[in-house]
Amino acid sequence: MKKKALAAIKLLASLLIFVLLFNGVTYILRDKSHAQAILPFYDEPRDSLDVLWYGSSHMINAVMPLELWEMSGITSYNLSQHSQTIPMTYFLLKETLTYQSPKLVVVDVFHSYMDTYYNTESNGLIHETFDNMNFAGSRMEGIFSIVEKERWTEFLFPLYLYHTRWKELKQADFSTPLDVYKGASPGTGITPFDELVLTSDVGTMYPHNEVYLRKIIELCKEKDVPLLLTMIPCVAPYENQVVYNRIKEIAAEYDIAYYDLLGEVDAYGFDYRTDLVDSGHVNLWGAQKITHALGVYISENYMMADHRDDEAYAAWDVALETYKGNRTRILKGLDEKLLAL
Amino acid sequence: MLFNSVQFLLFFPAVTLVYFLIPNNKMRNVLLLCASYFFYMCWNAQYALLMLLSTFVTYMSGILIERAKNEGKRGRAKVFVAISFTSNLLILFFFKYFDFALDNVNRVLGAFGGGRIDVLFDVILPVGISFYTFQALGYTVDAYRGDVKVTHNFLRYALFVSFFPQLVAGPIERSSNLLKQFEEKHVFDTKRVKNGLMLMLWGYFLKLVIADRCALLANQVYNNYTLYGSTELIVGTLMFAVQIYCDFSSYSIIAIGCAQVLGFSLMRNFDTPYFARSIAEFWRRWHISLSTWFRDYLYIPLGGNRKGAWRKNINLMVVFLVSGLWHGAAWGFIIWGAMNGIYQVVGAATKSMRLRIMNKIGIDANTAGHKLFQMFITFALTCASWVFFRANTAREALSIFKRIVFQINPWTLFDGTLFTLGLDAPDFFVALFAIAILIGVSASRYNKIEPLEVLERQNFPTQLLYCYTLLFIVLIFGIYGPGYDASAFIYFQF
Repeated sequence: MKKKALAAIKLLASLLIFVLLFNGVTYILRDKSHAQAILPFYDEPRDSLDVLWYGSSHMINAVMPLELWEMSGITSYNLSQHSQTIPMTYFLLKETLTYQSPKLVVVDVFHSYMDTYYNTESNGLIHETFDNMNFAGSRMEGIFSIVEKERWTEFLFPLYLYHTRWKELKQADFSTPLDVYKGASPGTGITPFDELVLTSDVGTMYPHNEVYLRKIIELCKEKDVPLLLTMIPCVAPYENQVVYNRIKEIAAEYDIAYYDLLGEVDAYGFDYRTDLVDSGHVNLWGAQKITHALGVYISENYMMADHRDDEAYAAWDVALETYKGNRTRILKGLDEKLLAL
Repeated sequence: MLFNSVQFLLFFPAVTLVYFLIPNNKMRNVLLLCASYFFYMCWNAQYALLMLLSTFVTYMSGILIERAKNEGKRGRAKVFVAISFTSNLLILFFFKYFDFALDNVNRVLGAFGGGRIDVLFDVILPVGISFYTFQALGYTVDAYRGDVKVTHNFLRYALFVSFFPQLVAGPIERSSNLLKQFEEKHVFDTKRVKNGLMLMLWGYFLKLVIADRCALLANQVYNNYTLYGSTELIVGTLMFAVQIYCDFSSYSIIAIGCAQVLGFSLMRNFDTPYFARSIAEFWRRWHISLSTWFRDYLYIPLGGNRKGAWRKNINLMVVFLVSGLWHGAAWGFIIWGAMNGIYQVVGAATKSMRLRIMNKIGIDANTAGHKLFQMFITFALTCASWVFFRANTAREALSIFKRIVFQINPWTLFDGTLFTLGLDAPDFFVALFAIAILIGVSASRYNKIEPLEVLERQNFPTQLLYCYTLLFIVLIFGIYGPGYDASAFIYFQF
C-alpha cells in the first residue's frame, strides 16, 4: 500500500512540476504584444471596476480610463486588443465578467465590418486576446468556436507556435507587463484628414459577426449589466458605415443604447484635422475628447458612484499621478508636431 | 501518421491505455492490429490492402511449407519459398522500381533512336513497403529453415507484419523474436514503461533538435549546390551525415521505446556506427536489422565467404548493390551501395598489405591515436558515399565532388558564411551543442556504458531533472510548429 501511495505522490508531484514549468516556459517564450490590456486586469481587485471597455485597436487609443477617473471618480479598464473581432469580444467579455461586476459594458463596433473568420490577420491576432486569458473556460470555448481545427494546437498551447522565439528573447519577456494606462495606449502622432462624409444607408453584417453581436447583447442581459455600443471616430468608408447603421438597428431591437461618436463629432469637438494619428486611430487629444464625451454620457444616463474620496480606491489616485506626468509629456509632443505641420 | 505529430501524441497514449485496460490477451492483439492498420491507413488507406495481401501470401507460405516438410517434400517446400519471394518482390518491384525501370528503358531506347514508352498512371510508393515486405519474407525463410514455429494464428501473424511501432521504418524484426511476444501477456510495469518513455524522449531529441535542424542546412546546400564551394559542401555533407543518422536512429529508438511501453522488446538497430574503424564494422553497427537480414537471407544463401575470396567479393558486391537499390530507385543509391561494397572488397584485399606496412614502419594498431585515425578514415569514406546518397541525381553528386576538390575556400569557415547556409548563428550553435551531447552519449555507449541504464539507477529527483531538462530542450529548440512542415523521416521513402 505504501509503495503505491509513494508512486502516486511521485506521479502527482511530477505532473505538478511539469505544469508549472510548462506554463513558465510558455509565458517567457510567447509573444506578449499588448498583454498589458488583459494581464494586469486580473490584478485589479474583484468587483472594483465600474466600466469595462472592449473593442479593437481604435478603442485602445480612444478611451483613457484615468481621464475618466480624474473627471468623475469612475473606475474602468480598457480591455481592447488589436484586431479584437466581435466574436473575440464575446469570449473576453464572458471571461472578464466572472471577475468583475461592472455597472456598464461598452463595446466599440469598428471591427464588425470585417469577415473575421477568414481573415488570416485577425486569426493571427486572436493570440493577443486568448493567450492572455486564463487557460480554461471562455478561452477554450472561444478556441473551439472560432479557430480552424488545424490551428487548435497553437492556440491551446501557444508554446507550439512561439517556442522559436528563444532566439529573440528580451528582458521584457521575463517579467509581467507594466501598465500605467489601465489597458489603454495613447496615440502620439498627427495626420490631418478631411471631415467624414456620413451616410444613413443600412447594409448587412457578416452572419457570424451578427451572431456574436447578439450573443454579446444577450450575455449582458443575462448578467443584468447595461450595454453601450459605440463607434469611435475614424476615416470610415461607406462600406463600413452601412454596417454600423445596421448595428444601430439591431441595438434598437434589444433596446440597447448606441452612442454614435462617429456621427456626432461636432457635439464634443472632435477634429479630423488634429485628433487622428492615422486613418483609424486617435491621438491623446482625440482620446481626451472622446473620454470626456463618454464621461458626460455616462453621468447623464447611468447611476455611478464617485470613488474619489474612498480610501479603498487610493491606488487610482497614485495611477492618476503617473498618468498626469505622461499626459503632459505626450501633449507637449503633440503641440510640437502640430506646429511642424 | 508521423511519430512527430500531434496526432501520434494522442494516438499512442490512447492505445496504451486501452491496451492495459483490456484483460484478455487475444483482445489486446486485436486492439493492436486495428491500431496498426489505422496507423498505416493514415497515410494511404488503399495500400493497407497491399500489406494485407503480402501478409496473407507469406502466412500461407508458412503453413504450406510446414505441411510440405512434414510430408518430407523439401522440394515442394522450396517452391513455396520461391512463390512467396517472387510474388512479394514483384509487388515491391512494381511499386518501387517501375518508374525507375521505365525511365532507364526510355533512356536506352532514346540512345538507339527509338520512341518513348509512356504510361498514364503514376505509381505512388506505399509507405513502409520495403520494411514490412522484408519482415514478412524473412518469416518465409525462417519457416523453411525451421528457425521459427509456423503460426496458425492469422491474427497474430498479421499483427507481426503490421505492428505499428516498427511498421514504417523498422527495425526489421525476425519472426523468431517478435512473433512469440504476441503470445505473452504483458503487465503494466511502471519501471519498464518509464524507461520506454525516456527512450522515446531521447529519440524525439535526436529527431526534432538535431536531425531536422541539420536537415535545414543540408537541404539548403544540396538543393543549391551551384552556389557553394568546397567548405560549404563539406559542411553540408557532414550535416547530412548527422541528419541521416539521427533521423533514422531516432525512428528506431522511438519505435523501440513505444514497443517497450507496451511490453514488447524490439532489436537494437544502431550501435554508434560512426565510431566504426572499418566499413565492414560500420555495417555491423548501422541499420543492423537490415544488414543482418541481407546477411542471413541473401549473403549466406549465395555462399557467403565459404566459396573462396573471389566468390566472397562477388557476394559482397551483390548484397551492397541490392542494398543500394533497396534504399531507392535512383542511380545515386546504387552507386552509394556499390561504393560501400567496393570499400569492403578493397579493404579486405589490402588488409594484409596494410598490416605489413604498419609493422615495417612501427605503427602500433592498439593506440588511441591509431583507432581515432581509423574512425576518421571510415567516417570520411562514409561521408563520401553519403554525397551520392543525398544528391538529387548521380550527376549532381559528381559535380559536388568536383567542387569539393577544386573549389577550395577555407576562409568561409571564418567569415560568417557558415551562418548563411540555412541555419543562422543561434541555430547553428544549438546544432553543435546538441551534436556534442550526442557524441558524448555515443562515446559512452561505444565503451559499453549505457547512459540510460546509469540513469535508471539514479534517484527520483535526478531522473526527473534529466527528463524535464531534455523535454524542455525538445519543446523549446525542437524544429516543429506552424512555421515548419513536420518533416517526415527520411527512411519513409524506402
